[in-house]
This record gives sequence, structure tokens and C-alpha cells, in this order.
Amino acid sequence: MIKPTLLLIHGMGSHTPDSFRAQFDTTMEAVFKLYPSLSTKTFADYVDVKSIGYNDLFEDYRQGQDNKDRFNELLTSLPTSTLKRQFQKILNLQGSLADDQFFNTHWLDVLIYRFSTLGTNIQLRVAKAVTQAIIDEQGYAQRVHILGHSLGTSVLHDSLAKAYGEVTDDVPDPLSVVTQKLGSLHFVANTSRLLQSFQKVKDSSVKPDPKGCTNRYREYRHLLDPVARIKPFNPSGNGSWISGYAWVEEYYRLIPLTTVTNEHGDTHSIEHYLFNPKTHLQIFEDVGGIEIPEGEIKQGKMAYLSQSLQGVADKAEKAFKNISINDTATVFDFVKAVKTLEQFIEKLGGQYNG
Amino acid sequence: MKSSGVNIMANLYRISGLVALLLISVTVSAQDKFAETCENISAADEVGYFKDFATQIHNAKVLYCTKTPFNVPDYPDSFVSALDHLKAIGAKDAGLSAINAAMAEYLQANQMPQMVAKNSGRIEMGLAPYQVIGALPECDSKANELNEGGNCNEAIKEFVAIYNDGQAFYSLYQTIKTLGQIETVETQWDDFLEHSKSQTIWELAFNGWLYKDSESAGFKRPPSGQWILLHPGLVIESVSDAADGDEMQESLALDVIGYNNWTQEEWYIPSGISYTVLYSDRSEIKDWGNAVSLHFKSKYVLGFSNHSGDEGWYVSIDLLELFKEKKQHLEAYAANF
Repeated sequence: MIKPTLLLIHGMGSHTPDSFRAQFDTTMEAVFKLYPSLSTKTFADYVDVKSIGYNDLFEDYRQGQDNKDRFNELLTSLPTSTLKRQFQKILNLQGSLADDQFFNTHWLDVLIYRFSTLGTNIQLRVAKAVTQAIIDEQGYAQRVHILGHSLGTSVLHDSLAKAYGEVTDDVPDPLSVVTQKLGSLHFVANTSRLLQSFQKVKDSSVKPDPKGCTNRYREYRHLLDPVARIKPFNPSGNGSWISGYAWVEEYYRLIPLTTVTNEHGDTHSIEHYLFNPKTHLQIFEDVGGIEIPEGEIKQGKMAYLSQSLQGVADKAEKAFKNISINDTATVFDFVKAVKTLEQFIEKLGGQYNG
Repeated sequence: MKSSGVNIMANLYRISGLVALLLISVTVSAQDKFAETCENISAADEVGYFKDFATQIHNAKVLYCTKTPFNVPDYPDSFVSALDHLKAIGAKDAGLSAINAAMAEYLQANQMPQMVAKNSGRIEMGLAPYQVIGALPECDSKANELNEGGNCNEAIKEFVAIYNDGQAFYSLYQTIKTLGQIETVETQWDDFLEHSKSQTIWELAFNGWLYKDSESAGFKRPPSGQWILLHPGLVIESVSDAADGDEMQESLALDVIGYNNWTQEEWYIPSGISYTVLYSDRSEIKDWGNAVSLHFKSKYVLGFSNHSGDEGWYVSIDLLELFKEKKQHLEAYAANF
């Protein structure tokens, strides 16, 4: 059997392709246990899963700062003066930023991706992996599907917007929205509109449309995930984004989630999103090949709901009440939301993992 | 000495040669990769309704593979008239006219669209819907005649699967070609990361801001230049007028503003220049001085300073370490003779 391919793109934090893949696999293992006919199988029996990482590029940057320790040493030994104080300020800024764990693993990822040229290196890596996946599928682009989480949704959008974008001197043959249209895209906790830069999300070729690069476009947004609330992508069906036909046929679908099953209230984690039947059943439907009898679906949903934690949901609602759905939010609001989430998770005894 | 014009021409000539070489290597590589695929063409199996169509698509794939060097394909008749095969299950000219016209338009633009089989006699082509079958009972009965126990939906699914198999194959060479182009640009950006001058967070942001201004929805090679802005560093500075024992000292350097061309890799030609402020603790001369730094290979610095009339020169720690390394190599080399 020729399997479809699912590419994974991780979000913020210290991920590697393997660590994100492990998170995905572990969750899918738990998901398959919800349905008796899948309980002896694995997701990999149906789909080739490949994970794309980019955190190493951030790491290289963090470690590449010249002579920082020696610089500090020398600065300390010098007598105080106005000029020294200015040096100190500059060095402290760079140093304190680099030493702050939260800054390094979240702020820096977002800032570097959004505001520096390093974003292009990441986009090229993803574009290459997508193109290679189409080749591995013998040109059958419909068999290639991609899932991005959090910052990974921005990476996903931007990479495809360029890969299927304008003809340039350096890439005179970009991928074609006609011949190489992908199977489906899954935006989990979508940040692509918040971090949009060279092209607005609603104007790019990343859409399920005759002029778009995908057949299906799914957005998963947990109502108690503060990160997903920041400047959400809410397209309308007035024909300005995709054709009326594609809209009516629901080739774009926003899947709102409400149930909380994570005891530490990590509503943003990829595990929490994937474990929800609304998410994984949609992925099964789009990626194809995984069929579950109707009765088992109901049974699985009940088993899932039995694990819901209303108490945690109530606490989350209270903790995130100040982070409202906002159309004019900035990157700073986004990081504030991540910080709020991190504090909330830690308060409930957990650890935020990106 | 050659004039700068001659140097520029020589460099341009070298660059154009390199670009040509890169393009050839992309083309050759794409040709080779596609040739490998051509070695593994197999006939579709388990065809129930459209055996002739499956054979035509198979032949079209074989035909494509015989036309070397590979290029964007001229689509054979098996694609141009593909939809006529649906007449075997009851499609009429009137029902096929719209989809045929759309297909002709796509092929005219050298683009072969994907298809998706929908129920009730509908096919999507390029995500636009076309009702290709008018009378479903007639379609079901004809499908059953072609393949006992079969039906209209199954037949359309098979037709679309055969078509998409050809569509995927005919778009594969282009995909391989695109991959080569993306890989070439990626290598250039990797070079940029590796060989450009290290940047502080604000330099990264400033240069990023300048780049984003010209960034478009398409991949392009990296910028050749980078601004240097409030970049701290360490240098070894020599001021001959300083008190005895204080002439040579480690100093703090702050490149206030400057510009660096990371593609300049000749070690003896400066890749960048910056206005620098130096700070050190010496008796008898001013602690701070104005300076001009020349950057080499985006990493090493040689500069000239002025502490209120006391002149000096300096090199970056990196450059000093490079010299030390070279000296050690030379000593090790000399020790063997």
C-alpha cells in the first residue's frame, strides 16, 4: 500500500525533529486506544510521518556570540566611567537576554523568526522538505499533508507562500498551485496571521482554492488556549479569500475545541490538541486511510470526554480572561500570552514545554 | 596593477561562470533523478473499467521518458482527450464541454491539473466542480457492463486515479527541478549564516528589518551586505605614546556603525569598515579613543585609533588567535626540519 506522507513542524521551545515526532507518536498511541479497531495498530501503519526541525538554527545563533565571557571579565576590571557604563548597558542587554531561559526558548524564537533574516533559512528548509516529500510520493502532491503547531504554523504558512509564490531569478520554477497542490494543511493553534510579514495570510497562495496550494485547510483553535487567541485568522466566505464552492464544501474548516484534559492546564500543547477527537478525526479524514466504524467513534468520544477536567477548565478561563481575542494584537501580546500560560501551568504543578 | 574596472570584469566573469556551473549541475542532477524514476515505470494493475485509458497513460509515461533531455512536457493526446473515456459510462459531449474547455486552457499554460472524484457524477478539476455525468442510472448500468458488480461512483474513482497517476508523473520532473533550485538558494543562505559577520540581537533585528522591506513571496538569494550597529568586541591595541608597560593592552571596542560585505572573502581585501570607539585603562593617555576598523573575511579586524592625539593600532582577538594558530603551525612545521 502506498502511504500518504504527513510532515510535522514544531512550535516554540527546545524541540528537535525527533522530540516533536515522539510527542506526536505518544499522543497517537493514546488516541488509537480510544478506538477498539485501531488498538493494535499505530499511526505509522497508515501514514509516513516525517518531522522537520529548525530549532538548531536558533541554537547556533545563541551559541555564536563572540567572546562574551572574556568581554565581561575585562569590563569588570576597568574603572568606572561614562563610557564604561554605556558598554555595560549594551553588554548587559545582550547578556541578560541570552541568559534568560524563557527569553531564549520563546521570545528569541519568535523574535528571530519574525524579525530577522534567519526566518528565510527556516522557510527554505521546510520548502525543501515539502518538495522532497512530493518527489518521494512520485509527484503525487495530493498525498502530502502538513501539520504545524504554534510558531510552526507561521513557518508552515510562510514557507509555502514562498515555495508556491512568485517567480524569482533564483527560483524561476516555484511549485505550482495547479500541478503540485497538496493534500491538506493542519494549523494547530495558528499564529500565522499574528506573525505575517512579507505577505498577508489572506493574500497568499496558502489556501484551499483553485489558486491555492492545498486541497484542504484546517485550523484547530482551543478556546482556552491563550496563544491561539492572539490575532486569529478568521476568513469569511464572501469570496475574497477562497471560491464560494470551496467555502461551501468546507475545504476550509475552523475546528473550535473546548474540552480540557490536561491536569496542568496546558491547553496549548500539541498533545492536548491531538488527543481531542475533533482534531484527530479531522486529520484521519483528510490524510485518509484510517477508517473507524461509526459506533466506535461515539465510544471513543465518550472515553475522551470521561477524561475531561472541568475544574482545570474553570481555572484556565479565569486565568486567561484578560487575554481576549484581539484583532490588533502584536508580537508582544503573543509573548505575554505565552508567559501567562507558562505561569498558569506551573501554578498547577506542570511544566510548559512549548 | 590592474584597474578596478578590469578587476570588476574579472570578478563578474568568475561569478557568471559559477552561476552557469550551478545551473548546469541543477539541470544535470534533475535529469539524473528523473531518469531513475523512468527506470521504475510499471503498468497499473487491477483496472476494472478503463483498461484502454490505463494503457494510454502508461504509454504516455514511457514516451515522456524517451524524450531526453527531459523538459516541461508537451502533453500527449491521452491527456488532451482523457475525459472522452468517460463516454463509456454515459458522459455526453454537452456534459464534458466545460471540463474539456478548462482542461485545454490548463494544458495551454503547460499545467496539468489534479482531479478529485466526487459522488453523483461529479469531478473536481483544480478544485473547481464539473458535472460530467447527467444520468446516474445510465452511468451505473454502463459501469456494471464494463465491470460486473461495478457502479458509477467506483468507475469515476478509477478514472480519476488513472488520470492522477499520469498527472503526478508528468509533474515530477518539474518538482525535481524546483527542488534543485531551492537547494541552491538554501546553500547560499547557509553560506550567509556561516560566513557573514556575527550579529547581536539588535543587528539581527535591524538587518532583518531592512531585508524584510524588500522580501517578497518568493525565494531569493541572501543580501550581500550587512550593517554593523553598536557591535561590542575585544581588541589588542598598541599605543606607542603610552607609559612603559601600557603600550599593548586589551581594549573594549564598540563598532558604532559600519557596513560589511560578507561575500568578500579575499583575506587581503577589507570586507567591511566601521567607525569604532575604543576603551581601555592606561595612565598618561585618554581612556577612550576614536577609531576606524577594517573588517576582513567578515571576522577579523585591523584598526587605527586616536586617543586625543595619541595614535595607535589594534587587531581583534580573533585575528590575534588566528596569528597564534598560524605561528604554532609554522613552529610545528619548522620543528620537523
